[in-house]
Amino acid sequence: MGTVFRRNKKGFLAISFVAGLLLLAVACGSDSPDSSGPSGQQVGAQPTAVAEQPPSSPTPVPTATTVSKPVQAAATVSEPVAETDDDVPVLVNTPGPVAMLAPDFTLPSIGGGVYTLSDFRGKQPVLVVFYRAYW
Amino acid sequence: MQKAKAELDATGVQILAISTDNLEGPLNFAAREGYEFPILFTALDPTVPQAYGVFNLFGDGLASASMFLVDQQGEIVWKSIGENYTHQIYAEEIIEQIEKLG
Repeated sequence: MGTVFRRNKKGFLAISFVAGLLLLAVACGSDSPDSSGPSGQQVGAQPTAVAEQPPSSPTPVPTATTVSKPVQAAATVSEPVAETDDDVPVLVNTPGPVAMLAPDFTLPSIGGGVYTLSDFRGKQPVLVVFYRAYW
Repeated sequence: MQKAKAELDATGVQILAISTDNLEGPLNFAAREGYEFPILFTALDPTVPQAYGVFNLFGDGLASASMFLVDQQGEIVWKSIGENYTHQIYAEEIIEQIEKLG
């Protein structure tokens, strides 16, 4: 009897989970036509696609941000919004290094001899000039 | 640039000019202008300008007119990368940056 009860409990949980998903789906379907007429069906279709996409392809940030508003309105999933919040600082906050080690080079001089940038390290600063003939 | 050479010399900086032209360009140019600092050439090998991120910005296979101030620790402390053909870097600006090195 106990095992049957547990099975029933698991079954009940599974059924209620599916029922919850169905309710959410119905909620999504019913919300969008109310808010924005016939075109709302397209909007309602996009959020579900976006909710599946982020793990596989997080790169299309612009589409994610544009579609994230309907997702918020439907109040179904908050993860896409959180992911765009994570992505935006990475894109916006690109701190350049204050000091970066200059790539070393050894090049011949037209007057003869060879110059290596790292030879000047600890001796004197170097102004590396890339120039064009008319500069 | 040659006009600023004396002022730059006073700061104790070593100028290394790098040409990405073919050899005939800088040879003639250096002889005409009487440059006194080393003019290095890459012989059309883009490795060095690519390492500095200044290669082929205009799609002409040359380095952009740019300057990098490298301090005694070998670190780039200031740079000016030419974003167009008429990019100008004034000697006063360079000297100011060099003096910041102390």
